[in-house]
Amino acid sequence: MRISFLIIFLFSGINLFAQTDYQRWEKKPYNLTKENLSVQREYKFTGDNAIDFVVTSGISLYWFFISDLDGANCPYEPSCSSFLVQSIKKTNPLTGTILFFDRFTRDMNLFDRDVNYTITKRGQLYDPPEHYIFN
Amino acid sequence: MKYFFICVLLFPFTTYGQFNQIHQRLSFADYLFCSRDYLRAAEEFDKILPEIHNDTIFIKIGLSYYNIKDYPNSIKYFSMVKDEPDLSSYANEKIMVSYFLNKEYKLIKFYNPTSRGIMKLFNYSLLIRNYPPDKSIFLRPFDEEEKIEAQRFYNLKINPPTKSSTLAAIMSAIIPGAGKIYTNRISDGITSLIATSLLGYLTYTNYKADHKARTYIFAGLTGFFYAGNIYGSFLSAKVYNQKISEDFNLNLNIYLEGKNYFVTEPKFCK
Amino acid sequence: MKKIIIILFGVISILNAQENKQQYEYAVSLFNNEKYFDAITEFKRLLFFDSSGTYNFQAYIYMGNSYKEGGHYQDAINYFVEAEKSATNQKELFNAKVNVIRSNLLRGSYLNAKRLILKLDNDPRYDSLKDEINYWYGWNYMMEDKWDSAAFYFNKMKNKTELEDLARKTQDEKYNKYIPKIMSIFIPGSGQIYTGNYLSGLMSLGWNALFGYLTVNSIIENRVFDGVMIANFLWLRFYTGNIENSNDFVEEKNREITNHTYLYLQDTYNGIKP
Repeated sequence: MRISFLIIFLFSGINLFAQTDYQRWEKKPYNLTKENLSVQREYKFTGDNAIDFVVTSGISLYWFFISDLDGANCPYEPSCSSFLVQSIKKTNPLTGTILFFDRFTRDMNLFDRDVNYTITKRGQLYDPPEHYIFN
Repeated sequence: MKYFFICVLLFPFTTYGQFNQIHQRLSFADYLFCSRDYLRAAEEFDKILPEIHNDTIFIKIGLSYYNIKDYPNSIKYFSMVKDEPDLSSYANEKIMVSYFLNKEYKLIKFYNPTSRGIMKLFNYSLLIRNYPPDKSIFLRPFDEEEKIEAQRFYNLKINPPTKSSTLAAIMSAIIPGAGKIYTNRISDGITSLIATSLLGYLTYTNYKADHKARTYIFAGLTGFFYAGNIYGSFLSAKVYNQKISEDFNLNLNIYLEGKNYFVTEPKFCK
Repeated sequence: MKKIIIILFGVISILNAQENKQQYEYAVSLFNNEKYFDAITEFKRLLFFDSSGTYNFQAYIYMGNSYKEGGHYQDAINYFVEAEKSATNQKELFNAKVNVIRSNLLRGSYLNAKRLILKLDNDPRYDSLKDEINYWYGWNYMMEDKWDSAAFYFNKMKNKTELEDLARKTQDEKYNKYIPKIMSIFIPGSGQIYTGNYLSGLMSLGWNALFGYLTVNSIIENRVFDGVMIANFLWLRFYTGNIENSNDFVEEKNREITNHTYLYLQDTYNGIKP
């Protein structure tokens, strides 16, 4: 009898949970709205230099007049045109263009996609130019 | 008078003032520690430190920070352990593991030659830092059972199954896509071959038919696809090699985690 | 002698109770000052020392709510379930169960929430609380973006709330997702114009007209290969793009409309929210 009392006393109010409080956290703002996952284009007609200006505004025009209207053809994130802009910005116009053509070849390949790439929140294949730029 | 004494004697055994009594606070901190609420446990222990401090408490704070992957703090508290020889050698081992996990491989040292665990960790850290020692020196601290795995990791480091990026580029220059196939991107390679040869064929037929504008367009495209295929194969080999070295580190870390970094843990919780 | 010991223990237990009450109030004050992490520590301390279990239910509910405020919904649910176990009466039990449902709704696990509400609905003990059960049914459907069903359940409540009208209004405002698609299938661009994206609709119409014309033209001129190529790589591409766009625009517009309602519920609505 005494032992059972002792056991009840010892274990009352003690519960073991796997904890997630490994960092201090603060109040999170109350949110009921749903996230918008559709692609938001940034049309820009400015640039740091002449090449940048030509590339960004050319791509913006392409997005506005063609890409937005001809359906979702690119399985990647960033899209092929964004890949071109980013790779030119991160390297130089020639290397960037060659990288883009390599990407375009990979875009035409319909096989092994789930093996070679990780899948993003929107369900697209993650393949940024950083993966192909080595120092 | 007798009753007064009884009262006085009983008083410490009552739970009055439990929220402030030092031993009660210690037991609460222990409870948090054992229920794996490590950040709270560390903070509770830390508040008690001005009143009680012993090696066990330092170890427990260190372990709490270690478990929440806050290695600088865990090192700080583990290095406060001084008195008890058993605990301090354990703490020293834990400090070295913390350095290892915090990727500060250069700080791993073994003062005490009897601590084989740290020697093993030190040898593995040399592999990760790309300074592999001689094989016999590397294998010395390991037991017979561990030697098989150690040998495997050592061989993988010395002779990694990497692919040459120059060779990939040359292969692709000769046959478009061959370099990609060489780096295990078989479908990419075949696509590249088809795209480049199709465009080349179109250039040729248009040239034959004397369509000047189309010839220039298709020739330009063929050139860019061909260049993209060569440079892409070169990069594909680099990506492949990077994955090999990442996989090596990942597998090594999984193996070491399974071995608990060659440290035997004392039991603080039931 | 015995008497004295009994009195002593009596005094001690009173003192203990007082101390526990102080601790409880301290923890609650931390909760009220939005210091949720520390509040949880103090509630844990209270539960560790309070062997009588007086505050178990309240403390678990507060801990669950703290986790909920911090966005840690799984932990919140764990503690609400713990509160369910230590509930002393039916009212507390119901309260804890509803709290589990609310955390599930915030976490986005609507199926789970629905299952739990169904359990409450089928439980004869809660027959008198049908209003509240229907209220959470309605919230579940609102969060699930099924406004018709939400309005249906809000309508079943004896004490009507503004939510019924809100759900109906949102349902009426939302675009039918099939109409623009069907319009775009027959006349490219018309679906986009229907949803208010005039420029995109007109450009779609333009491209489709151009490439349709080019296709027909090359077939008439007996250049069948060119015709097939233009139809396949250009016309078909813009045609499917046009249908995809009309679909996307409807989804976008509907998301705007529902987010507007969610924003109202989040900021302005005064009733009980998940």
